[in-house]
Amino acid sequence: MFESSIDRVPDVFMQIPLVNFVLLATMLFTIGIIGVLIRKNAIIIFMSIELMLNAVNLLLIAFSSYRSDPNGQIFVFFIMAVAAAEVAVGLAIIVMIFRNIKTIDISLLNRLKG
Amino acid sequence: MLTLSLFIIPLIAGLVLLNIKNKGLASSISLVVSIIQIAVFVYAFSVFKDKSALLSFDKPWLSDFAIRFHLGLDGLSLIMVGLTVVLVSIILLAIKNLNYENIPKLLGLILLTEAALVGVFSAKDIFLFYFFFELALVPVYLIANLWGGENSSKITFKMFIYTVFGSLFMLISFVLLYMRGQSGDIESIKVTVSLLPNLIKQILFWGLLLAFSIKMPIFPFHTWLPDAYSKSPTPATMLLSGLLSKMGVYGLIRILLPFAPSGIQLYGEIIIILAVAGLVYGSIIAIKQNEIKRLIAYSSFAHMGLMAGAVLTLSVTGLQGAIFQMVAHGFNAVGLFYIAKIIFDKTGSRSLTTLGGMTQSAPLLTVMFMVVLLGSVALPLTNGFVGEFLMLKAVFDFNHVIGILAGLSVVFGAVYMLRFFQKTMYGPSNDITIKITDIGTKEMMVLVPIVIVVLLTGVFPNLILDISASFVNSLGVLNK
Amino acid sequence: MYPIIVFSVSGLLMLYLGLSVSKKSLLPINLAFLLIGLLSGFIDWNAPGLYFNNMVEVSNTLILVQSVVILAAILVAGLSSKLFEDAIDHPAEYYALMQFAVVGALIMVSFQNLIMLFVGLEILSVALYVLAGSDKRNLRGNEASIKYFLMGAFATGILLFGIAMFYGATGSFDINSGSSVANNLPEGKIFFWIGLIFIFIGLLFKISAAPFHFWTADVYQGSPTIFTAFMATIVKTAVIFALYRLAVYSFSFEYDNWSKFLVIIIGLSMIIGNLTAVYQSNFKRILAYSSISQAGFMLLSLIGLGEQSFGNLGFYTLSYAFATISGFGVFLIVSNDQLVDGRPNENINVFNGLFKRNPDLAVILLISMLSLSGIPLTSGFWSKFFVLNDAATKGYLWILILGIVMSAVSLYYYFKPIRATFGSTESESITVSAIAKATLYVCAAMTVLLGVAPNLFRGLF
Repeated sequence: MFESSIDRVPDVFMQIPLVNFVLLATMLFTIGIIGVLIRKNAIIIFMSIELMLNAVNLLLIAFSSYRSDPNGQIFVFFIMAVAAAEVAVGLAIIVMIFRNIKTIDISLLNRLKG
Repeated sequence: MLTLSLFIIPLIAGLVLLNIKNKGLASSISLVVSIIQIAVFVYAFSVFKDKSALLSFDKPWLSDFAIRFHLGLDGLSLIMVGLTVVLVSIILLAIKNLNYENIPKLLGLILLTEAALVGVFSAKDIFLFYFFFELALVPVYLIANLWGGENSSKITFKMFIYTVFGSLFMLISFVLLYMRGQSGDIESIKVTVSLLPNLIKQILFWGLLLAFSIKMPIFPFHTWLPDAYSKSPTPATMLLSGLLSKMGVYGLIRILLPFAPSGIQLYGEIIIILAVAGLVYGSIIAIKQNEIKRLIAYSSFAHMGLMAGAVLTLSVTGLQGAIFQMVAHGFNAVGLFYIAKIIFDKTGSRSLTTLGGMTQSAPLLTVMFMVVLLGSVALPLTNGFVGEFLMLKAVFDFNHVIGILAGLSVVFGAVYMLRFFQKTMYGPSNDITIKITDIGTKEMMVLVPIVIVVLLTGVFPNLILDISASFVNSLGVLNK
Repeated sequence: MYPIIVFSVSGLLMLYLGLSVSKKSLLPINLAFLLIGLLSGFIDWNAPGLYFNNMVEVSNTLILVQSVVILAAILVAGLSSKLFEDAIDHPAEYYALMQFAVVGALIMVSFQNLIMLFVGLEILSVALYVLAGSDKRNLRGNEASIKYFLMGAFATGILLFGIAMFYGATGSFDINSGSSVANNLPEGKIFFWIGLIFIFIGLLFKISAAPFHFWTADVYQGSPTIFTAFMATIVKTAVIFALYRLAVYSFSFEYDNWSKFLVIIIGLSMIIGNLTAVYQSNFKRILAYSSISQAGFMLLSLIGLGEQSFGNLGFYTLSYAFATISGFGVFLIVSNDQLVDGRPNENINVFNGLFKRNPDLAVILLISMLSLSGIPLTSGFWSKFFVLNDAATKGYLWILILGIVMSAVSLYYYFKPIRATFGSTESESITVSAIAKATLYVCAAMTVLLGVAPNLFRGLF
């Protein structure tokens, strides 16, 4: 069934060079990394991580369709499902911290020292 | 099999004793073990010449690697194992009469040390040697910590770190050797070492030298010694000075000489100068010491320096002298530390200034002390003389100036030892020393065997020299 | 393969049992499940092959490694006995999460497809994010939890990017496809290298190798001690075997290129881990930095990458698990006995006078520390010897010398707690629950036994 679905990929899509997708995904990924490294708000950091994951999704779909191989798209589903689970746990942790210290600024978390 | 039982018996007995609470039972077990050990050793000694196959035990240990559990006795090992067995028996006997807490555990740890030492002195595989070399330290570390006074944990920590650090360099050398030869067997490695590249030879020499010179110790690696000897409890000091320091000299002879002959040819002279410098330095410091245990500690350090120097001259006399002196010094050091402990128990003091005049109230102690002391200052017809004479001759032949310097230290040795004797036994007695009682049978049982050995080996040195000669002549790296 | 099924089911069962069964009987049930899982692994003994549509591999050596993981989980569970019954309201949930984490770890050591690597890693990580923050009112626990979560998710993102690039280069997620770098794509080689680097970085984050180690000390210190022990052993074991599988099956043909970088990371891990640990006074931080250097030693087997390397690594992880769990176990018991501001005292001085208070615990601690620092006649010596020898045969002599010198440095900080045990104290003796005691005895005995006869386990590979 995957064979037939690949046949229906529009030609326009196939005319965009693969490199463009890779560059776009890499840019999104880099933005995500920078976000994680410089932002202080836990929610924003979390969103940056999600951006990284979605950049990967984009990359996988691009490879998948250029190779006419469905595995990449299946992987995307896995990533989305697992990311959802991660969001559940992550938000719970953030809420837990908000209850205790009434802020989610991670630069205020500095109790652990050598 | 005999060698294995020499190793296994104290190991098992030691583990049993660690779990026993009853003091009487523990002392009788340790006594029985001592007797068995001496009996087995005497039997091993008797079959040494003609049935030496009985002495070997060889089983594969790690199949993927050519590392074997191989114990065996040759001339040198036989002497060292004998020294261990006899000295540990004496130490066990001595400990029982001293009022330490928790005697069974103490005896157990000493027996474990004995097992490790027998292992070191009979190992035929470099990795086995390394294991026992490290293992011997652990029970002594525990003894020093648990029975030591205030501060002992800091001092023993220094000793432990120092020596383990040194032996890790030995491990580097051993792994390098193993990788080249794909074998851990000492005999087969001997054959391959000459083919090694120059860099490896250098690493080998310095790595091994560092490990052994920290253990002995040789100047300038001796800084752990004075504190460790003087602040540790007497059982630990006896083990350290009498036996553990000998592992360093043994390592020099067994490992460094055959494995890194080229390094010794190149740098031997520097090391000998350092060793003799330590000898002179230790002797001079010993003269100024006021505390008995520190004095003996520095004298021990001085003696070790001479042994190291003599071994590195690569001569038959030097080696024979060093091997003989290992035995002599083992007994003398244990005897002296035991006497120091007796004096301390009777008077409560270790300071030369507060002691004196003990000869009137304790004539027997004076006699015993005198004999051990004369052995230590190398008077002819005592055991100290033979070893020192041979070693000094070797060093003198090697280099006259160094030889004369080393000879001077014998004079210093006489000075500090006789000063020690004079300040404790002679002179005016004071309130404390006038009241002390003489030593009884319990103490005599420890001191008499030591005195017998001091005199016997002094009068008949060939008892030991004959056995070691076979080993020394087979070594094959010596200058003719 | 069976343990994965057993733990998935038993974890769910555990959640239900928590509602109906008394707290006291949960630990025996948990241990029973873990044992069943351990034994079920051996059903596949001598039946190697690929299962679940080529997703998971089974072979004898992998079963052994899986057993190491499960054994570590059993030992950690054994330590939890008194703790969970007293302090925690719903222990069943923690047991269930630990079992799920084990499922993740098992998948990671035997994956055949990169999808499984990702899924396994996430199952392991998500469970641990929760466990790290399980002490909800402890601000330090909160901090550890969010740091672990953010860093973990970040590392997962990096790993995923690497996997995507790997897929772009090879056209498949199968780990054997590494060598078939696509010919039709001119950029194939570039994609492959980006993939390799990102996958490595992502996993090195998880194993806390320097310079990706900065989160480790905080997370280890802040998490409840029992879960720190869990993290230190099971996560490390799972990730190092995942890395090993990738190195052997996917990346081995480029060994000459990446090994040069990896060996630098190993050197850095050893140096940073050991030198930083020297300055720590918190026991958990000491073990955290020590675990960084241990990660360096484990990675040495990737440099060796010979016939024996897998066995070396298996031996290393087992020996590391015994030593670490017994170390943490003694610490757990002692620190819970001595509270500071209502929290366990985690400073090294908590061990003061332990030798008088409970000599058995002191001896177990001694054995554990000796093993971690690699002193002979403990299994730690052999494990270091095997991996160092392995790396040195590939010509990296300097890493051998560095490794031994760093072991010497490590002696200093491993002996800090031992020194403290000989100190004097006024505190009373400590009592230990039977299960925890048995666990600690087993760990110490196995450490010595494997130190005397390493072939008992090493010979199985």
